[in-house]
Amino acid sequence: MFSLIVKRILWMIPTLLIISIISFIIIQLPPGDYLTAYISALGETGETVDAELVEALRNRYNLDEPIYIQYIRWMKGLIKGDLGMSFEWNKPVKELIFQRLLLTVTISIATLFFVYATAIPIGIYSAVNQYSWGDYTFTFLGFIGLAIPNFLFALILMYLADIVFGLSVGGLFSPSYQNEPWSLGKFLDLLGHLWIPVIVLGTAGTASLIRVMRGNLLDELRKLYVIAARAKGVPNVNLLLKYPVRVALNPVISNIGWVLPSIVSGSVITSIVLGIPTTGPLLLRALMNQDMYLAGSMIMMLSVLTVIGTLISDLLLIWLDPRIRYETREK
Amino acid sequence: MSLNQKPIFKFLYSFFLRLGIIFAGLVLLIILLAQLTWFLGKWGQEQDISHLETALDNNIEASRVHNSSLSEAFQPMTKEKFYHLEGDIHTVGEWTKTRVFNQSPMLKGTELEPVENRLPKNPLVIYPPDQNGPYGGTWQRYGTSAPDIGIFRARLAYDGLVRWGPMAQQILPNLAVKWEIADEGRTYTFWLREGVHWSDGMPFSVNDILFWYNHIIMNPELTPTIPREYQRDGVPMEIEKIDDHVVKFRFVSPYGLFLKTLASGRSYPMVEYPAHYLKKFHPDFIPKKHLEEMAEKESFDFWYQLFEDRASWQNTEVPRLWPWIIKVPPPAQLIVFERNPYYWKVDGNGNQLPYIDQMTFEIYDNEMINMKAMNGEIGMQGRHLQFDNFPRFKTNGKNRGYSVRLWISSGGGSSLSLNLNHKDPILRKIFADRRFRIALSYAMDRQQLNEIAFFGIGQPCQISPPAISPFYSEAYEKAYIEYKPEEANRLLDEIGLKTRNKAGIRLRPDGKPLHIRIEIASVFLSTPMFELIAKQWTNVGIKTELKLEARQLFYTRKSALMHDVGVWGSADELIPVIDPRWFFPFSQESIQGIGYARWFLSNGKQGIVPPEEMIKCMELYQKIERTPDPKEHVQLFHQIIELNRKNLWVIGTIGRVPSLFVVKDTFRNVPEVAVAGWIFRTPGSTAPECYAIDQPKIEHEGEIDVQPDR
Repeated sequence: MFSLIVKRILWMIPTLLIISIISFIIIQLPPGDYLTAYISALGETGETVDAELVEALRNRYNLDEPIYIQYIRWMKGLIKGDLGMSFEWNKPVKELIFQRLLLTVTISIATLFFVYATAIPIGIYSAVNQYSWGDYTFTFLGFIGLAIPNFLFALILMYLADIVFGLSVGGLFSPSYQNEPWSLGKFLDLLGHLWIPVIVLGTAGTASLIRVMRGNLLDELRKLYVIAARAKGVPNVNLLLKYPVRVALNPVISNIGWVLPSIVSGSVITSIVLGIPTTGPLLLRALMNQDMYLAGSMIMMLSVLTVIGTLISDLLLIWLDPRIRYETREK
Repeated sequence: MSLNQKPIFKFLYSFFLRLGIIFAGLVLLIILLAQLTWFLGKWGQEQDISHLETALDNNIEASRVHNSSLSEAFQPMTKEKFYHLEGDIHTVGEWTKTRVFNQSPMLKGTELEPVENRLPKNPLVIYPPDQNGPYGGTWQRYGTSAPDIGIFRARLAYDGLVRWGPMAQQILPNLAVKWEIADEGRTYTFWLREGVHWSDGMPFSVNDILFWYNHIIMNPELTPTIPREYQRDGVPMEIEKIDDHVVKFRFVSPYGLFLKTLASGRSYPMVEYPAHYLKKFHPDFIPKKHLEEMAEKESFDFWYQLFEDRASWQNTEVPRLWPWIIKVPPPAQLIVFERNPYYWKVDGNGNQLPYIDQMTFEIYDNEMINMKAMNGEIGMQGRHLQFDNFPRFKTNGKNRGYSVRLWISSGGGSSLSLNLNHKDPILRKIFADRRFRIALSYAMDRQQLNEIAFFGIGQPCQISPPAISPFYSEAYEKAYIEYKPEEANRLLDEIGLKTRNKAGIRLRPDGKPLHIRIEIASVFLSTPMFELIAKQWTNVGIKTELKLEARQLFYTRKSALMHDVGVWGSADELIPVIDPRWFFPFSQESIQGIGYARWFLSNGKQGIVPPEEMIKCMELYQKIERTPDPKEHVQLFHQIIELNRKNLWVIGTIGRVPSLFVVKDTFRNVPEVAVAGWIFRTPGSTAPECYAIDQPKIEHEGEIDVQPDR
């Protein structure tokens, strides 16, 4: 068991190295660099920058060096734990990311709870009462949730929030609470705004999880051990929760590997539409402006989290599912 | 025993075979998908254009009726109308009465010195257009990113030595009380306001300007290249301190545009480096080693990065001369600026400006900002608001408590620039013929363009100064703007493009069909207008396609001279002498002839030698640069305009489209009409420090006069 973990961790090193090279190349692929993005953005509003000044700046940011030297420079910093400076914000990347991390994690975890809390009971209900009215209703709602694009749903909810509840559109806090220290009022204000992103982000996840739970559970319910247990008189609810549901949860657990990075990245499009200051819009902007240290560091961070998440979900599966446990032990 | 029989090779063989099949399958899939999207994209594009055309043909009359109220909302400004406007804008003066001043209630009870000690000896007086006061309130604004909010520095705190007036007709005193130009424009002397304080209460004097000159401009690490405007003939200007409040700038040869560029923002850096604070971060005053340690501690690589960080508008500690100073910087969600208690301007009754206590910025996406505007959540703002949304702003304004102001745009509209330095010699030859360019201008139905893109509000014109400009030329504005397809066809036949292929496309001298591409950075919102232009040019036998590009790609392609026709916005043609990029190849932004511009900028050392008449324009401009007399500027520039009328180097589309601002109903002193443009730093030129917000009537205290006092 221990050697398994060590092996997996050692494998993470080359994986991350390759990811870092690929992501660095992809960030550099679009024509131009941060400065072309910067001067063209200024030009759009009729403002101009001197050509000589741009050349000087390019030299200052080391953008005129070959790409591999820039890469090595970045890697050197990464090893020391220095993520570099963001060109656009003129602030250390670390500061920018951590500043937005708390909010992003809050939203994502709230969403995750929303998804689990609604999807798992509904999935179980749907499987147990297959082809009932309730099942059909949830299936119908689930498919609608899957089919509506998140950004559209966000726009509709925002419109409702404005017309029906009179909330200020977008953002997570009312302007009056924006820079206040945390208080009960600010917390309630946050709750007032939080439900829109949570519902928007949650619906799609809920819908797919319902389908997965339902399908898996249906497979299990037909198996002989369930019938045997039922024949022996094991109470229905006990039986259901102790065996088939536990097995049916497997795919949910193996998903945690992907949940971890998505908790940190935040949903990009929804966040932009709703104007929520999570890390998603920050990453998108960094990519669009070729703010390469910021973009590269965020992609690296997400990759690290994906790799760790996969490891965690594997370990959880081993712990949860005796079949996998025995398999690894035999080896 | 052959190699193939070894199990390891067998395994490798089957492994690579499988890998190969998977890989080939993937490649095939990608090619298929790419083909499919390409076909779909093409189909979609064609669909779009034909749909556009029929829709337009059917609706053009109807739209005219439907939008009539919108069109009537804005009439292009004429000279006569313009002179009747004067009353609605702010004016400035000097304080001559006894020194009795008043301050914002927000500052009462604080430990500051009394207001009369904080104000200079002769505060600048701003007479607001509507009313004096009241104090207080918050001005809500929005930006798309942290650097975008940096426009606060450029456009809202527009405090240099001098300023453009709100109608861009004259240069007004600001930090300088008066100035004198001598030696035929070689020396400029400025008398500064005495007793002005930085926002931390330290006195401001000529020494701060000297600090900027000696330690910022003359420091090669902070200023790698000295801006063009601070030098003549490659020699930087010299600066001389006459006394604490008189400063003299000296050039080696006459420089006629210095005052105008100072008003357009070049006097700005001179007064934003408080010596007493920034000395602590400069190697001329602190050992470099110590500075580098400080820089490293804050994860900067070099001392000048630390210095720039300290001097940046995002630093809350650096003292300023601005009406508001930053309190909560990015990356906070709500960025806050608060009133500067040492601001050095008053209104006619001696109330210290600004009236508004606080300004806030939030960062949102462009679309979101437009929604915020429609929802009435903006105090006063024009940036990022899209003209397409004009009808929506108008209809929502009544219920949501704001109004839409249409200010005179200083530019001449989007331009179509044929690449005169094209890599393809045949296209280059065709583009060089003035009749070709004139034919393209005649082939455009600008009336239609105006309806489709600007609700009929704009005005067909070439890239020319607007009517209110002293540089206005009706002949050039209206040159070749009529829709005359027959005349276009005749001109094209005349220059040897007579033969056509079966599809009706003219053939180039080398027998290939004449095919050009309009390249447009995808940020431009009037894309349908250019789709229509492509259609109209195709109608006279020049196959034209529209290519949307990301901004960065557009910039890279144009600097490599790779575009056929480039589209970009105008550059403040109201005062064209500051940035004449569309009148002749003046800078890298003159995409009609970047090769020629390089020749001009390097004094003939690099680039491509321009044609004779273009050289004539460049010479005329150099003459303008050498004369300080504004009347002669106009007279000389008219010759440049006349050469443009003859040659039409750049093709204009629809201009005079007003700049749109959304203003809350409670806002006072925002002029009904002003001139908007980058070189005037609008809304800076309308004195945002005298904007005020009417509060609910409960707090009506004695000290807030609402009596206009002129």
